[in-house]
Amino acid sequence: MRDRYRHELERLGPRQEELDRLYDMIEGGTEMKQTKRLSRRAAAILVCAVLTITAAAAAAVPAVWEGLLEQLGLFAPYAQTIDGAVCRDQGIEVRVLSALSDDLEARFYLSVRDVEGDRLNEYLNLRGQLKADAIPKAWEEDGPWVRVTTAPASSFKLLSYDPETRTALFSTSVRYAEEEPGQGARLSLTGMTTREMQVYASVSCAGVTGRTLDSLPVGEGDRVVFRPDSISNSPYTDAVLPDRRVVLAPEQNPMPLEGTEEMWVSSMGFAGDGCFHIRLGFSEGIGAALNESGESLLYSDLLLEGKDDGEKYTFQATLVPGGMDILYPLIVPEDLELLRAGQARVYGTCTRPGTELEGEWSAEFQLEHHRSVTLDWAGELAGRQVQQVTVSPLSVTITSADQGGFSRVPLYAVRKDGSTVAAEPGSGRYSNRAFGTGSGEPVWEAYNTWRFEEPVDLEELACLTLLDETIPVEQG
Amino acid sequence: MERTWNDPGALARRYAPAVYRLAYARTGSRTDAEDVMQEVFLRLMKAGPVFESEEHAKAWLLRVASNCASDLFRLPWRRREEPLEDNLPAPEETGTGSVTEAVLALPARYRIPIHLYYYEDYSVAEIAKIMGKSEGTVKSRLFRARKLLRAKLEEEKHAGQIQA
Repeated sequence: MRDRYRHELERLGPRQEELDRLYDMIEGGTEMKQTKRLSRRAAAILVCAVLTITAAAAAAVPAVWEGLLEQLGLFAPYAQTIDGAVCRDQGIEVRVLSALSDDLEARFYLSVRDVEGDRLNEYLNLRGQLKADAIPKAWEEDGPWVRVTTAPASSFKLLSYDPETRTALFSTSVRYAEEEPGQGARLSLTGMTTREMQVYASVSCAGVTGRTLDSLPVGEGDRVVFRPDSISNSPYTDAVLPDRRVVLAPEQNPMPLEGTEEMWVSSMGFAGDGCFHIRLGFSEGIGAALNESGESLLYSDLLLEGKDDGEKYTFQATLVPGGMDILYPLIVPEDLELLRAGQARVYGTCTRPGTELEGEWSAEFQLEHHRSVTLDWAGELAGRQVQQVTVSPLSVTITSADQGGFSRVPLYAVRKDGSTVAAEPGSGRYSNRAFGTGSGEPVWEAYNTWRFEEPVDLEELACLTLLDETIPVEQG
Repeated sequence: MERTWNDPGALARRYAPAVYRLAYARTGSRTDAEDVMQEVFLRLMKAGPVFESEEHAKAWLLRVASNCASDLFRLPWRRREEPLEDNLPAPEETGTGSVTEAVLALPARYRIPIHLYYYEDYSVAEIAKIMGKSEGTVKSRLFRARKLLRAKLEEEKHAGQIQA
């Protein structure tokens, strides 16, 4: 019973985003202040007018600014120009250009320009964070302490690279999960590199046979860079590895790996240890990226019907001359038929020739948010009791007794001129109060969000529609 | 071994999943377990206790987790939350596993000792310290819990829900 309980629980774990939020809170992201909460009235005084992009900012890097305007599209007039958030180190200038923010999400745009050379390219990756203050609404009962925390920044996404101006345009965003957005925001980069690239590749296993392929003993120069023990929350450990340590010999049945030209399948099949292996070949200069502990950031798994998750994602990776051998210790010849109907995936980070820069690029700036307004309406909608509707030019939130239907359907804004704008459902939350309600029946509380496909001027908004029913707009 | 047991960041990286799992065993809700996990480390940062050893730190975290998870049930109403992922239908309970489900079906006071005993491998004396109960109380709860678990699993096995 003990083993089964362990096995089952090992498959449960906190979501990575929650862990990231926790680490962020502990490792400098959270300030704990014995202070008064920023009042909504004070926040409301920070009137958020329709924002325009200034000519001064546009003069900074015109080509990149054009790219930014293209990205923002119809949202450009609603974006805030960030002035003065610029820093330079190692001959690289980083500038926060713009933000588009409301109570739900803040999206940031920044440029990275090599002012001294030509070291950047379309493989540029940034290391660091962009944090925006957010004040949680929960846990208020915990004495006078108020947590002023920062929303975790998602990774930086390269939108474009302009070789003529040697400038890259990036975006990143933070999401406010029922938090009150604060004003402060900080960019902090510690490095950038063009020596990494992301790989998402796959290969069909249809050609695998039951024949044992030529295998080689693991050589002195071969290096294990990932093992079953490396997989957190996995029910399987290194104990599942075969006793005999071998890798596949190269180039026995080479085939392309769909999704990348930088690596290929050199050999694929069952090795002398009785387990399924894939040996990858790497192009000149290409390798698997490793983390600080020397573990591979290039991963693999199998898409197979009829095997449990742990069996499909448990692997050992060994760096071999010119590539990597991947051993799946729980896939054996008896699984051949399942295997032949499946696929192998290779994904993660590879290294490539390029530039590595370490430095400090920091900038602080103030954010302006398009605050939501609360509609002066509550009532029944499509059979659900709706408690509150808020709307901003970018999004809508509804608090209701919905039990799930709202989360799957678009919402529409109807303008006074009769035109409509769709809003797709986003993240939300469902709760039920199972106790203390008198009847003993659960009472549902749902918090749903929708983001508009194009901005909606609240002055022009006539009503919202959801599930073919109308929410009148009389802003309270 | 590097002495990192007074570093909240290192403790979070090492023990956040253990805190989460204990909270899950008590609450049966992933979202509640995540809330408890956050709260435990928030309390760690506020309290700033000085630990004598790695084991001391872990026991402290599990004790606070046990208290926080139990506190949830003292709220005027019991919250059950699931975040909505894009395109997911209404929240549903995720199947966890037959033994876990049997543990979650135990009366609340039995769940934490049984989790600490089966999952964390703690002795009765250690569980008593973590829970702030006497060894006798823990022994008796473990005895009853294991009896109930066996009965529950046996019942399900006969009902064909568990493959032997």
